[in-house]
Order: sequence, then structure tokens, then C-alpha cells
Amino acid sequence: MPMERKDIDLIKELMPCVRCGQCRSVCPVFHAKGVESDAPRGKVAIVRALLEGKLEPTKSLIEKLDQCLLCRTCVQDCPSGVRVDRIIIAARERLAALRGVPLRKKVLTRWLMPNLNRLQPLIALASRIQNLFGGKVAAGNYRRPRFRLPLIGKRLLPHLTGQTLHTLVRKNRKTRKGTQRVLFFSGCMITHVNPGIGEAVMEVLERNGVDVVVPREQVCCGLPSLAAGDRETFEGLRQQNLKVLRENDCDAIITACASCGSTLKEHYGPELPMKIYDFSEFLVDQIKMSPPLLRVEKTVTYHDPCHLRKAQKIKDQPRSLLKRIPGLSFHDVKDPDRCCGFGGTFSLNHPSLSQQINDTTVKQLVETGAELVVTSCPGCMLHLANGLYQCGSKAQVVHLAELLAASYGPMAEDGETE
Amino acid sequence: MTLSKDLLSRIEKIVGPANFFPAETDRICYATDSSLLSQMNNWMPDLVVRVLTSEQVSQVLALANEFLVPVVPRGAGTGQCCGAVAQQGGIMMDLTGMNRIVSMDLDNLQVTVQPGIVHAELNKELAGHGFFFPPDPGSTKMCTLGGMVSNNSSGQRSVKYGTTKQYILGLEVVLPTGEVMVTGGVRSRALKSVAGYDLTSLMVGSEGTLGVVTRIRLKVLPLPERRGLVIAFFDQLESTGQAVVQVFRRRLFPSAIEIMDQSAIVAANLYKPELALPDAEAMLLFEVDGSPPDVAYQAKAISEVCAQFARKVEWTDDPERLKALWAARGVVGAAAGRVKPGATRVYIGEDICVPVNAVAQALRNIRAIGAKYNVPIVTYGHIGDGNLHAAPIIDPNEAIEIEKVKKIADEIHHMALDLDGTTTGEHGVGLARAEYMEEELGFSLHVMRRIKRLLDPRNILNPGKMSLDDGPLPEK
Ligand SMILES: Cc1cc2nc3c(=O)[nH]c(=O)nc-3n(C[C@H](O)[C@H](O)[C@H](O)COP(=O)(O)OP(=O)(O)OC[C@H]3O[C@@H](n4cnc5c(N)ncnc54)[C@H](O)[C@@H]3O)c2cc1C
Ligand code: SF4
Ligand code: SF4
Repeated sequence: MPMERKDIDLIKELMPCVRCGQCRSVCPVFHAKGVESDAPRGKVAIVRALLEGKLEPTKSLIEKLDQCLLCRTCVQDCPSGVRVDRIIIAARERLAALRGVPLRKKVLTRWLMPNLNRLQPLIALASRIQNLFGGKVAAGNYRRPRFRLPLIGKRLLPHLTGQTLHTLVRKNRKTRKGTQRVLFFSGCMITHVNPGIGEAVMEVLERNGVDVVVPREQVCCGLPSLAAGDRETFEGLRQQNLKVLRENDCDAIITACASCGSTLKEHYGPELPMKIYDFSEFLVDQIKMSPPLLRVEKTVTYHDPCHLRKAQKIKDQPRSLLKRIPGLSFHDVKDPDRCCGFGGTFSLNHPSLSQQINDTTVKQLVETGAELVVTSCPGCMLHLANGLYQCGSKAQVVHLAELLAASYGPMAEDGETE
Repeated sequence: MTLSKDLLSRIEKIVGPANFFPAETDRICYATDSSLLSQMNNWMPDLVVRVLTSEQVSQVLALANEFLVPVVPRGAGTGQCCGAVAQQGGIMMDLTGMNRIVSMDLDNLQVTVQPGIVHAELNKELAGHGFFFPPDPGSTKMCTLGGMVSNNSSGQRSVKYGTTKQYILGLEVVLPTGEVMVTGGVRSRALKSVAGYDLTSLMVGSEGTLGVVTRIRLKVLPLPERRGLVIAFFDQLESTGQAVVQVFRRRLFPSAIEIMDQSAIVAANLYKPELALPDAEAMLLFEVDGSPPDVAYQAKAISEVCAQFARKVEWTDDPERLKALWAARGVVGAAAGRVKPGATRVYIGEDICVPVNAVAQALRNIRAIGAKYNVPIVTYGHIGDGNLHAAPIIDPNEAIEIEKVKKIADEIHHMALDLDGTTTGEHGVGLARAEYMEEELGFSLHVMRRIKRLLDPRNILNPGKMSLDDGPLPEK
């Protein structure tokens, strides 16, 4: 493979790897698979050899570089500060430039995700016929496929309400006058699949005197494209979002999806006048919260999304919020650094590996004895709900915002958090 | 070297297709350990296999012996002397899949493990029962017991607890011919034995050149009830040596005495800013362990001694702070590159050990060598036993920097020998220090070569290492 300027920069990025192997002790993919080429250190060696022309971009090489969740567990611990995730993304881009983005990924990250707004009627249609494909399980929040579906297999699917966050907002919002005005970047999952989370976020913010706008024109944050090595699509989405974000005059941008949050902070932040906060970060660090008063008599645990804990360094704020909810009994997991194994399209491309990683994480969550598993990322929610269901656990998964909203008072519609 | 189709298919049958890795993508990942030498040469094995039983090890070795193909045993590949690297090609044998605790016999203070178990995992399990395996390398989270046995690894606590060899009661070893031997008594569960030659000790530290370790019976100790840490910051390097000598004179026996020089302090702060270590010429960490009153007494006494020489002394027994300090100290070497943006720490000349009363001199010499070549060197180590790790920071893409750092390493090694020390206190010889063995070992090296030839007549097991071959030394 001929060397380009970008490759030289990439070599500089991976040079600090001293091959100490510390990352072997934390990488979920390596733990599940066990050979050096699955470890972050091995992946760095592969990228290097590829750039130096010692390896050809073979199928097995591409597969190896595809088997990374971009969870950054290795980055968090690397003594030399090697950004393995950035190295993998750059290598995927390089491979995509050589061989094109694989069709299966293109369908999702180039055609589907960026166009969800336009495809909304299809999602609404799907919500009407979803009963044919799967029956409701896990307190009605998910559906279990009746037969093996392509890519999904028999894993749980979210129950679609037929609403989007935008339609809910239009229906339910009263105009209030808050002291601050923030923009809620809701992201694909919350907008189109779990709008209830979005409502809860808005509810809690508004209870605390914060006005919220949710621009309808926002599109996918672009992380799936970025992760697939499709920089061009990512850049298109980024520009589109930047325009929307700039047009709205707000004090801050709030996210409630860990992956959107980390993408916005890293790839949008430097070009925006306002700061970006995760929902929990904003509540704990930026405003004086009024206390939630209703008791929630539940034992709960918290799952740290990798893109929150490792990418945004946010771990105390969600716990601090949970501890403010009266009646709640909180039990932390033994090893809060564990990835749920979702990794966006990773779970579709490597289902059994993704499930294997999920199993270990779910086991620890179950060991806490919690009735509710709380987290801050709709992606993790889906994967954890599936894992819990498959292992026969009765524990339900909820978003932190939903639980807080419950403690602030009945939620807009059915209000149930269980 | 190309392996014949016949050999390949027979090996695949032994280990199974899931543990058979002929693809370059896999093999390249086994071309290095953390040594600079391995990085510069990238010696790729011709095949990687993951073995899961002693029988598989034995069958693969018997075949390799028949076909005259080199075999290199490998644990986590965290070694720093280019030991687990296939310089002459052949088969890389990954033992990390053999990672079970075979039995725990805590009443008899011993456990039996497979070689691929990771040190921290073993100690986590033992801690649950109130025991520990004392040697504790900085690489605890990743290195394997097989690697530790083969390198006779030690670590921060060796000043009080010694090195791996003190804890190995017996081994199952597959010889290069494929024969299996058990040392220390075939059925023995005794804690000591002088029956026969001490083949256990011969195997410990043999760096995978005499046999593949497939089972380890090791001694464990009750876990001390409490640990505490005295941290002292010094304005003068010399004072650190004086403080250590005085601590021993006061009949105090710390479980670890570590030194970090000014640049190592900077590196630790860059890695874990929450440590907030103050700037100083050097810092000493004295760990004490035992019962709570004993820990308090010792910590107080050590603090008093240090106060005579140090600018600032503090102490802690807060488990979180202890953990953070040890974690940072453990990998400060790997974090050393952070002191110079755009540069990397390289592992070369990194493991000298000198008499304790020559430590200050050695530290000064290392500084002078760094200054001479205008290369920053971060130094830290186990001052309690004179083991110093020097970490040159360079841009490894620059040929001139590589040349410089090789000269630096050579000067550091000779300096250690001149101070009546050794070129390697714990990391091993491998290829990286083979060239010094004639000078350091004298005639005993020739006896070692005879032993090697006796046990490995066709020279297939980890050939070329430790200067055991009469053939030419590796290119540098
Ligand atoms: C950040 C860092 C800190 C470190 N700190 C220390 C320290 O404090 N003290 C210390 O002593 N070392 C230290 N080391 C060096 C290294 O971790 C040790 O030598 C460790 O014991 C090697 O274990 P491994 O499993 O990685 O072995 P490898 O590197 O895989 O192998 C080491 C040698 O053992 C042989 N070998 C491995 N397994 C077997 C087996 N089952 N049978 C026969 N031969 C085998 C190999 O052929 C090779 O020669 C450090 C390394 C790093 C990267
Ligand atoms: S922890 Fe960092 S420096 Fe060490 S091997 Fe992994 S990526 Fe390289
Ligand atoms: S980002 Fe996660 S999955 Fe990828 S190499 Fe690092 S630890 Fe492994």
C-alpha cells in the first residue's frame, strides 16, 4: 500500500505504543477471543505493518480491524496515551478508500441512518405491523422476534410507538419561560425509537427552569459513518448539524445519548460558540437543581456507557443524580469499566462476539440484585435489555432521565418507569 | 523458513483449526515484545499456535524436533529483552490459553497453576482467601506466571520477599524433545525438598530455552493485614541512598523501596494528574506491611529517618491512594514517553542492577550519559535492591536517534558491570543483552551452553537467545 501524508501522521499517532501489553488486560474483544491480533496492541501492530507495506489489506486483516467496539477501554488505561480508537478509525478510512465501504455498512450508515427524518413514514408503518414480527416482552418496551430476522437474529427489538420525539413535542409542550435556553440534540435513537426518553429529558430540564428546543432538522451525529471509515458521509452530516446548531441561539447543547455526546464534543465542539453537555453533567455541574421529591422504591444499579465514562470522563454525575432520588437503593457493579458489547453496527456485524461480551457485563449487573438497570445511552439500553431478557433476568433497563422524571412527578403520558 | 505442508497439517491436527494461525495478520502481532530490538527487526514467526494442554505442547515439540523447526514459547509478550520473539522463524507457541488455577492447597501454603494465568488474576483470586503470591512485577495486570518463571521476574517487593524463584516448589516442564518432566518431586506437596539436583531452579530463569513450563506449583504467603506507604521527596539524589541505608540500619524492613527521579515524577503526574506529586529531584516510596500497629510504627520510624534527608515526607494507608500510587509506579516506564511530546520511550539498557550503596553513583552516571548524547532519560526502579530502570526518550523514526540510544545502552551496561553490578536485574537476557554474557558470566556461560546442548540437542527451543548458541550474535 503506498504511503500518503495522512499515513505518516497515523504512524506518528501509533509510535508511542511501547507494546507494554497493558491493554490486553482490559479489551473486551481480546477477552472474548484471546489471541494477540484481537488485542489493542496487536491491532496497532497490524495497522503499522499495513502502513509500512508489510501486510496486504486481506480479508482477515479487514475483519480484525472491524472487530473493535471503539469503546476506548484500552485508551483509558494506556500509559503512553495511545488513541487506539483513532488509529482504528483512520485505518478503516484508509481501507475504505482502497476497497470502498462494504455494502452492508453502506446501507446502514450512508443510506439509512442519515435519512431517518425522511424515512419516518416507514418507521410509523413498521410500528403498525411490528406485531407480526414479534410479541411484546420486557414490560412492553421491547419485542422478541418470532423468527430469525436478517442481521438481528432473535435479539430483542425496541417496541416502536409510532411517534417521534418531534411529534410528541408538538403535542405536549406548553410554552414556559425558563432562565436558560438549551438545545437538545436528541440523536437518532431517542428521536425515532425511544422518544419517551427525550420527553423525560425535556421534562426534567423544564422542571429546573431550563427551556428546551429540539430542532427538527437535526440529523444523525455521524458516529456510525465515522466508525465505518466513511468520512465523507460523516462530514456531510456534521456540516448539516453544525448549520442547525449555529442557527439556534442557545446557551448550551444537551445530549442524552453517550455516543452522540462524545461525537459532538470531539468533532463539533471546537467549531461551536456554545458548550456541549451530557444531560447528567449539565444538571449536576451547571445548574442548581431542585430536588426530585417522589419516592421510587427500587433497587437500582448503573451501567456506565463507554462513550460517557471513558470518552467524556463522566461517571460521578449519573451516580450523584441517582442518589438524590428518594427511596432508591443503589448498588454499584463490581467492575464499572465493562463495555456492554453493543458498539453500534458492531453488534450487527459481529453478533455472537457482541453477545459474548454482553453476557459478562450482564452477569455483573444481575449480581447486584437490582430491579432496574439505569444507564445513559439508548444503544446500551437495547443491548442490555436483550442480554437481561435472554438470561432470564426480570430486571428492566431505563434511561437515567426517565427515572429522574418519574421522581419529579407523573410523566406526560403513561408515566410508568418500570 | 517455510514450514512443510506435512508439518503444518500435523500441527493443525494437534491444536485444532481454532488454535492454528498461519495468516500474516496474526503472525505479525507476535513479532515483537516490548524491547526496541524486536521493534527494529520485526522477526515474524512462520506459524502461531495456541496450546491448551501439556500433551499438545509435547506433541508439537516432538514434531518440531523431528522437523528441526524452532519453537518459541510465549506468555503475554511483555518481556523487555526480546525473549519471546522468533528471531529464527519457526513456531510461536502462545500459552495464554492455559490459564487455569489447577488446585489450591492453602493449608499447605501452595497452589498449582497453568502457565498462562495472569499475575494479577492469580493474586485477585488468592486475596479472596487471604493469601498472595509475593513477587509483583509492574506488569502484574498483563504478564503470565509462565513468563515470570521463565524470566525469574520480581518487582517492587523483592527487597523483602525476594524473586519468583524463591516461591517455585515444582514445575511440569516439556523438554525440547517432547518428553515431560516434573521437578521438585512427582507427587510432592512438601514445602521444601533437597532430593536430587535442583532442576526447578535450573528451569526458573531459563527464558524458555530449556523447556516449556506447563504447570507451576508455587508457594503462597498470608496476605499482610495492612499496607502503608511513606513518600519522601528529596532535593539531592545522594540523599536517597543515605535514607535507604539509614532505614536498614534502624532495623526497619520495608516491603518495597522504590525510587523515581525528577522526570519519572513528571511522567507519573502526566499519566495520572490526580496524583499531584510535587516537583523534586527524586522521590522514594517505602511500603511497609504487617499488622496495623506494626505498619503505623514502621511508617513513623521511616518518616523520622527520611525527615533528616528529605524536603518533604508524607504517609498514607488509604487503600485508594495506595492503589493509585502503585499503579502509576508500575507503569511509569511505559508512561515515560509523555515527558517529551512526539517522542517515545524505548526499552533498551533498561534493567541494570548495582550494589545498593552504588545506586546514587549509577543514577549520576545515567544522567551524565543522557547529557552526553542529549537524550532525556527517565529513571526509576527498585532502589532497595539496586535495580534501576533507565528509560531513554527518543523519536524511533530517526535513524540517528536509534544509533545514539544503542550507544547509550552500551555505556549503561558497561557502567553497571564496572560498578560490580549486572546488566539485568529482572528482565532477562534474551537477545537484548546476549552480547554482555561472556564478560558478565565468564566460564559459567560455557557450562550453560553445555547444559543447553544436553537438553536441547537439536537447538530448536528458543534458539539464539542468552548467548547459548556458539553461532553469530544477532545484528544490532
Ligand atoms: C510496563 C512493564 C513493567 C514491567 N515490570 C517488571 C517488573 O517490575 N519486574 C520484572 O521482573 N519484569 C517486569 N517487566 C517485564 C515482564 O513483564 C516480565 O518479564 C514478565 O514476567 C514476562 O511475562 P510474559 O508473560 O509477558 O512473558 P513473555 O514476554 O511472553 O516471555 C518471556 C520469556 O519467557 C518465555 N516463556 C514464556 N512463557 C513460557 C513458558 N510457559 N515456558 C517456557 N518459557 C516461557 C519466553 O520464551 C520468553 O523468553 C515489565 C514489563 C512491562 C511491559
Ligand atoms: S497499553 Fe498502550 S502502549 Fe501499551 S501496548 Fe497497549 S496501546 Fe501500546
Ligand atoms: S476500543 Fe475497546 S474494543 Fe477497541 S481495541 Fe480498545 S478496548 Fe478493544
